[in-house]
Amino acid sequence: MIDSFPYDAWYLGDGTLDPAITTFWTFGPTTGSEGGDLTGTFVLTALGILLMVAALIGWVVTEHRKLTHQAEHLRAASSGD
Amino acid sequence: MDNQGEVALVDVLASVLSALAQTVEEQIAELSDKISLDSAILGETFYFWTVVIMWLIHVGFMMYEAGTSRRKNIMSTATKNILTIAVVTPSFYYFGWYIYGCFEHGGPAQGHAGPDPEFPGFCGMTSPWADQMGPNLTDHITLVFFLAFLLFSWTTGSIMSGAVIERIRVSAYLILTVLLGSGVWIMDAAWGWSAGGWLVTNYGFHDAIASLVVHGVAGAFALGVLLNLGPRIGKYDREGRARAFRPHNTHMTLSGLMMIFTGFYGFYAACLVILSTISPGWLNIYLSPSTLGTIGMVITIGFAGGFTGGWFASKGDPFWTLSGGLAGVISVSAGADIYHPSLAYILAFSGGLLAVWAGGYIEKKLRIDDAVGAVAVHGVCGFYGVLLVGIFGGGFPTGLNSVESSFGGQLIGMLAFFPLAFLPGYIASWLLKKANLLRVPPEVELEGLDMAEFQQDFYPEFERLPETIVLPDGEEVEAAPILLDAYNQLNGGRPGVKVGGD
Repeated sequence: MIDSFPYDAWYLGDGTLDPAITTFWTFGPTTGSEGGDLTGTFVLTALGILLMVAALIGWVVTEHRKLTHQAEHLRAASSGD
Repeated sequence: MDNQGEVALVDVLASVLSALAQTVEEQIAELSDKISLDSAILGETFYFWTVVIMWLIHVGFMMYEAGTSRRKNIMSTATKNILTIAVVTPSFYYFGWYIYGCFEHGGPAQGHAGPDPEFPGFCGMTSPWADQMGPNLTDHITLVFFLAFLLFSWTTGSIMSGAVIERIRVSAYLILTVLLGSGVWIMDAAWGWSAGGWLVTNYGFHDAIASLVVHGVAGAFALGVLLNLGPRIGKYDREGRARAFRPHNTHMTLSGLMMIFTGFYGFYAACLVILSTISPGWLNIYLSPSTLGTIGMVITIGFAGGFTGGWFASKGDPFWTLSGGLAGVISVSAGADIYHPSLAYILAFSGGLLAVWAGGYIEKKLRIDDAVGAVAVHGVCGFYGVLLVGIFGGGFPTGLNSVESSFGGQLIGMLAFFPLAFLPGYIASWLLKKANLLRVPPEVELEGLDMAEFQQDFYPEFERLPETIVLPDGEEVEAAPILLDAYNQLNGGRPGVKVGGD
């Protein structure tokens, strides 16, 4: 049984886990929060979705450029034969 | 002893007993809390390791597809599998899991109350901002359960991935796999692969280890994509006869399949639920009792039956023998919680036969170029597996309402899921095709995707010989210009339409 810091500090007087740390994460719920529905969490979620969509668009655009370039190169090489 | 003394003694005894009772109650409560925590951690540990084992499925898919591809397309094929993880993971976190939690009744649930009375609030727990979806010392289950489902999602994408190799754009595949892995399959899981799904609670739809909800649906989606994508250049000649493209590395392909099989044990196990303080033992996904041994036995003998069926139907072809094993397991997955091993063996044998015959029909009669037989193995056998439960598992109580599974209920599920899977695949790939973003240019396809995507050949120490064609007069000439000319004649220079055939 661990009975020294930090384990004991995780509990309140009534033996329940301290909500200040049970669901703590960056910009997430803090003391007294009933859930993750906080502005910081929404903003992080929106940024994550933005990154995901931007990456998908990036893949489409980058690959299209590569394929177009290679196809033109091959056509040019073929016509030069 | 006088009366006063007796009363005092009784009082003392009562207070001692009361103190003892309080102590016992406290000890029971403390023990109960500890057992609940242990139970939660047992579940957490179990799902965590199923996820680790399921990674092998994706290692296997990568090896399988890269081995099946020709030398000029190895790395673009493998990259597609790796990037499946890159796109499905965030999209499933942001959207897919919420669909599973909130769409059990078809449409979205009202508020976050959750449509499932056994798990009130489950819907609200599945949004990406829910406090269960981040670090949370009071919840040991949600995130590992999410991860198990995420690995199922990757699997659906990987099933489609093999069918479309050697001519699809990686970016087009990524868009399609997001749609399949984080939208389509998880919607059908909400409907028919959860205890409160409307197909389960109304019709007793029974697909315990996901014959249809994972495999069949991914196969139907892939079929929709293949119709727009068209075959690889040179796959069919002018008479419409199919030409075999031999794998560049059969050993890699077979090893990949064996990896997938190993990962399937994790997949099967992850389809069960263990909450020892709530239920008496293992439960299937519909919260009906089951055991790990039952499903472990069915998967193992399912491989045996499938290999046997695949071997005989293909006359010993190594690719189809192993694919037959996969088909066999998929055929018995829907009823893996209730089949006797001997029944599973026989049914898996029939699934192995069916996959080979269906694969040949799709390739040679329908002239659909499915590079790995995904539509036959996963699609056809996925639907077949659910049908078999209607025949051999009718009467088994399924889901929250304990509705008996039946042939009719299984048919309703099949009728609901085919359009749910096929139409999004067909429509999305049609839109990509119209935007000229579905298929690589024909010149690039003939040269090989790796040169365009990576500007290098991945077997540099071996000379790369051009593919040749023998003309009627016996002269051997380079194939690419002839194939390109034929392609342009048939398609007016547009990619995505069948070469050869009609």
